[in-house]
Amino acid sequence: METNFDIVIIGSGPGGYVAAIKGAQAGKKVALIEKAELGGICLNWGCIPTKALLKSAEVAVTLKHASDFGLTAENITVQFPKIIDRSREVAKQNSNGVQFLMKKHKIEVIRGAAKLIAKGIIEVVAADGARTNINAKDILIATGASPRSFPQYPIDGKNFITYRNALDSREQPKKLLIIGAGAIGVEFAYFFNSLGTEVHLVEMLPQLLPIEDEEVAKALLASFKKQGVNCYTSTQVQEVKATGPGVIEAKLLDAAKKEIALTVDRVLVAVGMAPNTKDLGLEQVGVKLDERGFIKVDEFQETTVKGIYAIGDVAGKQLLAHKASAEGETAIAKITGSAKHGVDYALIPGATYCQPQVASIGLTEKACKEKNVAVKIGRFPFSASGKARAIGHTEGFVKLIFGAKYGELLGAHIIGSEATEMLAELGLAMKLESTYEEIMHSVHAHPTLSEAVMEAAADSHGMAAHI
Amino acid sequence: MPTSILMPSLSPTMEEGVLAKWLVKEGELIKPGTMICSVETDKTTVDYESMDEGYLRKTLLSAGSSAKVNQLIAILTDAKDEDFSAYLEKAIQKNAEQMAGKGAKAPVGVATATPAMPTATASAAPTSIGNGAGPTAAVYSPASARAAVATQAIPTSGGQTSEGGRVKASPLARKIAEATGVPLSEVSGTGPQGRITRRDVESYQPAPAPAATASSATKTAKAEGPVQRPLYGSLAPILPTTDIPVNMMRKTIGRRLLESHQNLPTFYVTMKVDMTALSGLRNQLNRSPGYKISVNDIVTKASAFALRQFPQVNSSYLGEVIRQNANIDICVAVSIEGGLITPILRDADMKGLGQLSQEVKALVAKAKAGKLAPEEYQGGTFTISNLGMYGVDEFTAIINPPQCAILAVGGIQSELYLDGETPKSREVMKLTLTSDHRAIDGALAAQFLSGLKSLLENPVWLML
Repeated sequence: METNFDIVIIGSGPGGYVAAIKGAQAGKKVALIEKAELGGICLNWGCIPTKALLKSAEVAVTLKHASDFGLTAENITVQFPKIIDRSREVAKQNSNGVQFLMKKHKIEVIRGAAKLIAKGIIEVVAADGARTNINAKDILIATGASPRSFPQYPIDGKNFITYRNALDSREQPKKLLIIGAGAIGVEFAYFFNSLGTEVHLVEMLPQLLPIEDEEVAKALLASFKKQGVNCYTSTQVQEVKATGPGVIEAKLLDAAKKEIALTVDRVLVAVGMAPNTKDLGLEQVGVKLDERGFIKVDEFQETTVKGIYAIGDVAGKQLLAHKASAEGETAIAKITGSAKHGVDYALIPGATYCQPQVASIGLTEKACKEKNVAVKIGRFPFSASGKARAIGHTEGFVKLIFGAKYGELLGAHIIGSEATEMLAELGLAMKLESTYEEIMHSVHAHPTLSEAVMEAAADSHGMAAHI
Repeated sequence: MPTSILMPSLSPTMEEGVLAKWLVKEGELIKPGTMICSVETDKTTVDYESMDEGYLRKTLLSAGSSAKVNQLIAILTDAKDEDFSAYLEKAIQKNAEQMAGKGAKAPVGVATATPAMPTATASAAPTSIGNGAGPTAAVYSPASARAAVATQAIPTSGGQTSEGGRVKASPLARKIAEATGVPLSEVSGTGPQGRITRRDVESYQPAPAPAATASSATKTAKAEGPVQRPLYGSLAPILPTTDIPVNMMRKTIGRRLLESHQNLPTFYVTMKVDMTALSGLRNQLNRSPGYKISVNDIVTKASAFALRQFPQVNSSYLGEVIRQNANIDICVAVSIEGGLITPILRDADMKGLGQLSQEVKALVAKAKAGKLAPEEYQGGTFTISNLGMYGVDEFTAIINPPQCAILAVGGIQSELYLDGETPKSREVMKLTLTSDHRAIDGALAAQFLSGLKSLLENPVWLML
């Protein structure tokens, strides 16, 4: 086996494998070390398989509303194991896709657990215990993150589960308590609720999706309540205890200090992620961590050791696949000498795939206020969109925040049926530093949901046509 | 038979002339010796005497317009109502061709090409400036005048660069550059294909000047060893020198002032102003709550008033024409970090002292904060520079072209003077006007300054 490389990347998630391709494209000899499935959490246990599950949920909801569209669908039954199977199959196909890409770009995939021995030397321990030393001019650490463990929530894969267990558990819970209403909690809440599970969603902070715009979160809360999800915001989990297999007693304390007692058959813990920094030999080579345990990096992802880079979840900030890819690209650009700027974290979009979907980029209205930025806000509800009415998805709105002085797009917040797809043009607008004028004067095809984006831009200056 | 009349060459150096006035009307009979028109040359105004006889049928140049030597300016016919339309067409075309041919070929077969001895009635230059409002003389309106100035592309301060080529910049970068006066063409973009982004505009630092010789010399020296005096041996200073990079502003100041100082035939006229009345008025004004009128405000106001009386001083020398500006836009020199800038008080003559004072204060504050918009410092028709606050007695200032004059204001001082036989004390201030002699003659400068002095000594006239 070849053991000398220009760049060796540890971890094949969306950070690692994209960096590997970029490195190969730049003419470097690249190796990618992976101890589990190619594609990392994203492809195998995160982004992609959850989207597969959510599609099943959406189909279920659509069928439930078949009569709205002049159709009859009777005797609809949920075959939960088949839903899980489909999700696993999708993940597998994607992982194979990465395998193909590695081959195409002549990237050496090395199976095993990696450990830094010294600067430029990595030891790989294969599944059979075989040890190989790999030499690298530059090293990229892209080992990701895992659910943080809490003593009060003993994860056992049965009573207490993480997203990962939820993805391959073939048994549908009847009553599910979800702790944490971030993207993971909210998506699973929608998924299980749509398939008939009684869902209780608890969030300590005052809103669902705490990092999203307040107005959007409020709209989501309203929609979830309408869909039948039991939501508890500003609520603490006081006690949660398994009293038998599939019997868990929970005590919640809501904002009004009122105690809520629940009995559920499963608890999904969706709070907190911790970086995967253990057993990597970081200390040995002098790679320093920050106070939260993430690897410390500079603007170009270089760690405290020259020639060692860290990207993605393990390097902190937003724990998102596309952020990891962007950082990978930056690190490779630095290695190949073409880097001008690091990743602009203000331009990392966020997407949550419950229905209605929530998507955003840039600053929330509240963040603008805290930063004392004068803004002009434009909104457009999908109830005023012809296309939304035609497809029966009039829920939600587009909210765009522009700087008052120059009219630049500071933040975009969309809640609605295709919010995550609609966001793309706003990411581009921000990247190209467009102002409300460029957005409102871009002719949008009619009828599309995206017209709402154009209208919201116009509305920011009182010029919307359809409201 | 029709004959062409061409612009005569009335002096050896004359390349073109301005037709000051037609002395004969269309249709009138001209005899040899008749003065046809007055022509302003590069030196003087000359009446042009005809050698031919005939009827002046058509004038092709209006009063105030200029024409190159040998350019067709009129048509003469033998008979009073002879048809000359065919001839005219051909003559215009032929003349245009000849002119385009760099005037190399002598105009053939045109009798009037060599004029008779001109009757040199050299009228003084100011007269011609006075009535020669120029080809673009228009009805006064601030808006139209402003538009005209804007399109004239008068060279202005602030490192305005030609934006001929497309500058790749984001819409936001453009807006910020526009608002903050950053010249986009000088910003290097770090976006794709060198596209200029917000970050590039916000982090724009005017390029350090080519301190190249100094710094490269230092580098060479360093390479050779710790030599202290790299270039000039014993002539170099012993103590370490400090090289301050010449920033864009200093470069612009340097370039424009050198240009002005080298190219403008300037002269200086100084007058002493009795400040007694003005000080009294100022005290009265400043008792009005909310106002703090400075001496400079009153000088600015009075200058605007005087410029209205002497519009020749409020002009721009543009080579072909001296443009009298209808707007009185007074630049106020402000010393700022790293240089100086001259924000413009627009239409100073139309503003009351209170408004004027407040606007100047706002402009100065903006200038100090580096927040002037380009239109707030580009242009202007007259400049005032005041060093009075530094205890300066009197000084001369350098004209900011294409302006034709700048007023240098000294400090207020007490002096003894004789009131009859009695020595008395009074406060005086010295004003020095620098004028571009190409546009302003000594007498005019003196008259203007004298008018300004009268206004400052009788400030109540400003109420008129």
